[in-house]
Amino acid sequence: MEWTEKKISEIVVVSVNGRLDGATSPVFDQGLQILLNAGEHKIVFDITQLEYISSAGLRVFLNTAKKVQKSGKVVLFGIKPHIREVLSIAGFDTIFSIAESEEDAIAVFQN
Amino acid sequence: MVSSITIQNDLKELTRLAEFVDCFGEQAELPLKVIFELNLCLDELITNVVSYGYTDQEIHTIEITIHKESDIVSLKIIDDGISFNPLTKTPPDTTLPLEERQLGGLGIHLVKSVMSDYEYQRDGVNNILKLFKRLN
Repeated sequence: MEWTEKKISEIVVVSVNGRLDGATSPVFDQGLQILLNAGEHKIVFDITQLEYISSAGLRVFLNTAKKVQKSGKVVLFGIKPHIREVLSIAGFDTIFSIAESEEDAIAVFQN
Repeated sequence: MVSSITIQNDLKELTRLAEFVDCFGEQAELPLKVIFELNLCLDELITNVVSYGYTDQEIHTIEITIHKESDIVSLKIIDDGISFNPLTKTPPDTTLPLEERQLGGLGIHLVKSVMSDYEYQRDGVNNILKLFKRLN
């Protein structure tokens, strides 16, 4: 699992690839805490290259969304079909904004 | 077709376990969706055993077997952790709004959602958990 971060205006786009499982998710979560502690609260997750997610990975998204919910938001885009199934079973498709592209994800913050 | 792997109670072993599942899935010609779901189940269950199953700091081994016969794929997990049937846990409410969502409990909910049937047995010092998935 690896990730990159880029900032577009006030929005941080975090692109994560590989596997978010019980072993890798805590590392990703720690990385995101640094962003949140720096005051970032408009977060887009690009998961186009994410191959696998378990509940440990779902918790990272949920934890991030909970921490920013007062002043910001989390938007996801690039969801592969089998990952969409996991998000759906967990009921995450109702609590996250889901966009079709990076452009659409950024537009969510501008509305 | 049947294949087994023995791993240690260390989360780093999840990578090797995933390779084992992918390899079995390819040989058994399982659909990619099923391989993904088997990976998910084992990841959730083994993460639970490694994280909460032991009261000492010793090295333990966990044995995992995958079996495919006609249209049923089964998983068997044998561990010598504390006596615990994870599938009896109450599932989280996945309809709650964001602010009321709990961070825990999702893993077992995912396992129960993607597998068809399961059996649990405590045999001496071992937990033996079997899960079955009907293909199609």
